[in-house]
Amino acid sequence: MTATYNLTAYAIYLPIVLTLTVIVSELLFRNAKVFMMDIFHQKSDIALATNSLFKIGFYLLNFGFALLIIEFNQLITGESLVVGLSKKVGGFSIYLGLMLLFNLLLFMKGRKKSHEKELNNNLSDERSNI
Amino acid sequence: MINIVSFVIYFFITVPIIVFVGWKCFTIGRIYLLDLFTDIQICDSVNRILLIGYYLMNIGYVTFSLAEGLKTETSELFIVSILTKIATTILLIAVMHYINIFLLTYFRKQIILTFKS
Repeated sequence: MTATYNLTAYAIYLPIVLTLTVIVSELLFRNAKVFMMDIFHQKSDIALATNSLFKIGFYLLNFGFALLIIEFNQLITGESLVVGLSKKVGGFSIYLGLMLLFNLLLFMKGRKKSHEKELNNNLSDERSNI
Repeated sequence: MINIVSFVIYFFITVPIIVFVGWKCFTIGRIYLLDLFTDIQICDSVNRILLIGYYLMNIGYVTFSLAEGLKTETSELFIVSILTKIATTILLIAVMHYINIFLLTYFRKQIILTFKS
């Protein structure tokens, strides 16, 4: 049996990817709290609940994808180990960035919707007062 | 072995450039975001999320293309190929930068209509 670098690659790939996901989602959802408070008109219980729901979804999606692409080809030399790892980690990082920007888009759209709703409610209140 | 050395050189030349450009856009782009959102807290958090996304995607691309087009047969070929790779990355960032400026100047009204509340 010839020794390959595949097990080493898994041992390096998994910690990198998992810590990257945790760091990014912590940063994202710390910043998203402001958005949620704004969308739910400063009701902090429902805002934090929605925030953690989104967080669970983000974790599930990214952990799932990271584990899905784990399979390496036969890695024979140390160089092919570095190349294979760079391909995997780089590709995952690009995917993570896209997911992050997609979540930001969702927050911005939600904020706009909630503001429009509030505006309409205020207008109808004024009409009923008249 | 020389390949791994060249990966390190490529990485340590392009990543500082990306970090520098990202930091510049972070500090200057804040003014544009303040124009879009009246709330200063939201503006700052959008700015931070955008910076994280920019770093993830660009450094991810650099890591992804680490081994592409690298030749190490002779020292001349090695220098040429590594410089070509660095140049490609920098040009890519430049093109994205100009696209951003173009969008901000020509579609400013539309962007404001889409996101401003």
